[in-house]
Amino acid sequence: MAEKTKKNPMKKKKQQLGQLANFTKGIIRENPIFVFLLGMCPALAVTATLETGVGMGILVIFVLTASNIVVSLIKNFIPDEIRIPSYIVIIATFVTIVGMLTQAYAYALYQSLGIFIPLIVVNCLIMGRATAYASKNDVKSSIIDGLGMGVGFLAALALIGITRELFATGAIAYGVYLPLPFEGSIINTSMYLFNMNVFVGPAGGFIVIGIWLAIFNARGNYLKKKKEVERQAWIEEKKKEAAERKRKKAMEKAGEAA
Amino acid sequence: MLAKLRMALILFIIGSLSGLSIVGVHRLTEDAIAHNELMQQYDDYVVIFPDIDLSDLQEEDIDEDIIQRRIDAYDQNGDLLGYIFVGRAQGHSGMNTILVGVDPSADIVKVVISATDDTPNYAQIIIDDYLPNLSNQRIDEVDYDTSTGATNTYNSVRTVIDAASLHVAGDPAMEAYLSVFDDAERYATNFVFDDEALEEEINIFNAADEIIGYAYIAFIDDESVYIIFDTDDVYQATVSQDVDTSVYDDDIGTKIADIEPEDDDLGLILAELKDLLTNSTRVSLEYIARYFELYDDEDSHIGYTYVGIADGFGGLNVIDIHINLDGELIEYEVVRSNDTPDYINPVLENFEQFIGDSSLSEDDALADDVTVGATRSATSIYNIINAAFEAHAEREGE
Repeated sequence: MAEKTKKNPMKKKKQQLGQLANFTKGIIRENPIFVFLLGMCPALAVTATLETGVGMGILVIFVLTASNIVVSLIKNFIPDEIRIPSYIVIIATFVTIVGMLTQAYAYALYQSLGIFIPLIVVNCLIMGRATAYASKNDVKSSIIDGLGMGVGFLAALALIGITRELFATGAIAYGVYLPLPFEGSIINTSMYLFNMNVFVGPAGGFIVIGIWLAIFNARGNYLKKKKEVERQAWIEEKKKEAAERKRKKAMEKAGEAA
Repeated sequence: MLAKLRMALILFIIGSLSGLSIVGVHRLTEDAIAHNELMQQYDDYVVIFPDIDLSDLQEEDIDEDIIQRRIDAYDQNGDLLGYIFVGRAQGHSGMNTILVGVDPSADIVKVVISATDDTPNYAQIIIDDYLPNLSNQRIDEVDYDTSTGATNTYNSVRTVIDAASLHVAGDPAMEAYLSVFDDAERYATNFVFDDEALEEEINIFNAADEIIGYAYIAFIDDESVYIIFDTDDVYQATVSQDVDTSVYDDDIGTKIADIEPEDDDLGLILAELKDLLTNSTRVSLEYIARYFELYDDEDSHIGYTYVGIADGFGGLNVIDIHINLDGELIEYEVVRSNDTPDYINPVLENFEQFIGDSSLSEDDALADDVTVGATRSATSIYNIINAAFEAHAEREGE
């Protein structure tokens, strides 16, 4: 009778992702900014405050999801030769639309983001997901991928925005740039420690992104080590099992011989 | 062939659908956008004139390239506070909308960048550090900063202020040209001098865009003086508000070569012009204004000096190009440039490879590794040297 053995944990990880995993992968494990370093231009340029970061994140979610839907829908009709120009036109259309909507309904955000709204067209994340995912998957999966990656992007911008705004002003304001029906501060401290203007400028953006990248890398390294330990333990276990089987076989043979 | 047609059709359909979507959203949002922009401008009006009565705005649309609208600002008592000029000019990444507030005595009250597509951090440099310097200056005598770190954004501000100045203080230059040429329609700078008194050479055009005369703008006692000639260099007039030029009235209708200038301020400028116009030949080519014969130390004619002018990064670059009788580049000298030395100097060095050549290779002249970050400096020098070769070939042909 064949003996039951434990499943390979590596193999298990490589199994088809469910839709929930498809959504959540972009938030931490495949975070566009902290893991893939995609879309770094807005991550540096518009994250001086939480609200501008969140605003840009919302716009990117819209463009990313909408372009993923269209790309996924028409993927079978687009010849390879015109794939890139077609995708660029699609993305640029949604960026133009989102620009007009922001100008109409979130004017303060529109003014604050300025040139970085049209520059969403060249955000590698959007073109990357269109070519790497939406052009190969069905509409439902593409929507979930777009939303998940977009939320991951938004979360990263928000994290950077919170850090920069807090260290620069000692407060986290809301209702200034986003069209919220109320305004105020989530945190408001007048602590001297926090009044570091460097975090408003580009240098602050680099510093904060560097710190968060270090944290994400440290987490990645920790998981990698943990996985390696698990793998080693699994190998040892397999070795033990093989040795046990060998020993049993030898004993069976010895028994038969006796 | 069919595959190509299919691809073209697909791109056409995608493009058309994109266009339709954008038009649809534009229709949906245009009123809201216009309303937001208006509210933003009202906010800007209040920034310029805090006492402005927004319920009694007198606005006039102006159909010009730069100035779009003029607003007469009154307070609650009906007293005139001043004027606001709304203008649009090219910045670094698109058109900037700029508001210039001027009081009734033609002093700038405040300049506001109302909308910009330029990089926010650069626009902010101009807003924080340079716009305040413009307040309280007379609009027609603004002392602009020369180095700002955000040249294109600042130049757009400058363009709008200069255009607004024509509305406030009038255009004395055009008035001067019209006093001589009834059919003067427009004018354009042909050359900028590197001289304290003599500022610019101006081409005066009629409605058919033909040059009908030349004017030289000079400064005497900080007063602008317009010295005007016809196309044969015959003296027509000197127009000035305060400088007495009547001593040269007898010379009207005389060629510059035959005028004997007096020993006064205007006479010194006329002597300079006489020297310039008799020793050089005008060239009607873009980027080349004129040329001189070039002699060596032993007074042998060795070639020609072509005086070139083209837009660089920080304004006009004026460069002398020396070409020998065989049509080969001997040397080039920067006469005037406001481009950042760290950017223009490597570009100038790159052009040394063409000394001895009688034409330019665009690939070598504008190689990416040299021009990166200095594209406009490199292009201006390339255009000037290229035009000098062209002018030389034309002159040889004649």
